[in-house]
Amino acid sequence: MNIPIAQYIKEIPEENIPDGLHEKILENIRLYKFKVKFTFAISVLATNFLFSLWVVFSKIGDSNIFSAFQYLLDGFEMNTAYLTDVANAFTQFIPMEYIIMLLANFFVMGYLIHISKKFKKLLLHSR
Amino acid sequence: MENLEEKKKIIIAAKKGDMRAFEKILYIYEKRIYSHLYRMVGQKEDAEDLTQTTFLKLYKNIKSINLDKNFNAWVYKIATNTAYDWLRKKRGHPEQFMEDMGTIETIEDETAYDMIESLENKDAIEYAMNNIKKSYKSILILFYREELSYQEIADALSVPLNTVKSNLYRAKKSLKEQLISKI
Repeated sequence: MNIPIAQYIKEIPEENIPDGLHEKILENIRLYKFKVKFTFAISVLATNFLFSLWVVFSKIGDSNIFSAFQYLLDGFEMNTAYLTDVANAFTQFIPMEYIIMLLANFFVMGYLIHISKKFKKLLLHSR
Repeated sequence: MENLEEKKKIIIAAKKGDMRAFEKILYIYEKRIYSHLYRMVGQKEDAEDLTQTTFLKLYKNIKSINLDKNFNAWVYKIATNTAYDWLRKKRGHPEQFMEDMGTIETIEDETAYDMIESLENKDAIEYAMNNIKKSYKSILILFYREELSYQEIADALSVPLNTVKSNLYRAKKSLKEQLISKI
């Protein structure tokens, strides 16, 4: 009696998968999903950072800040009164909230870049 | 073989982003894909890495799967391409898993190799399968176990249709020769 090969081949066992492979695959997928969200967050923050940078630079461009600072530089003195004058002149041209916004964006961006480096390492170690 | 309707439902759910459905797909295919990749690259550690990459690609692309096409063939195609990319990077040149033998043989008596004597037991078949070329073993599994058509195998392995036909013919012949030598 002859029997189709297919019947036998279907019964031959496959290789056993290594321990933990199933979990590693799922972990990779979870990290990938996180990476997508993370990339989106970084893009939003980068846009925000560039926008705030643009706002500050346009404020500088619109003002006669350079001539004001030139005047201050000409009368340079290393004392508290002089430094207070410089700070006051600066905040007159660029409002403090813009500066805070720019600095906050700058630090958040830096922090996210730092986290993304750690995240990259995490992805490599999950392999 | 898993129920086709049930499998289709799982794929639809996975396409919609259901992670539990994707995990079911993973359960169905992980062993098969790992074995396929192991036959292709010959190293367990490499096959493990490539299996992870394959399923990540599968997850990224599952939304684009056409449900009218054979899902098995699609999964094998991703795995095969992943292995080819890896082999290309590792060995610096493209390498084909399946040799193109052209159509040097007339495949008229192919059906003779589709049947085997019942006295050739399961162990003998397993022995014979383990002693033929790995590419032959793969093609026999894709054809008989996965029930892929010639064209689907050609797509899955990125080789021409004639290469599939000639390799399948040789694979069956080689299996038969192994079985005869065992007796």
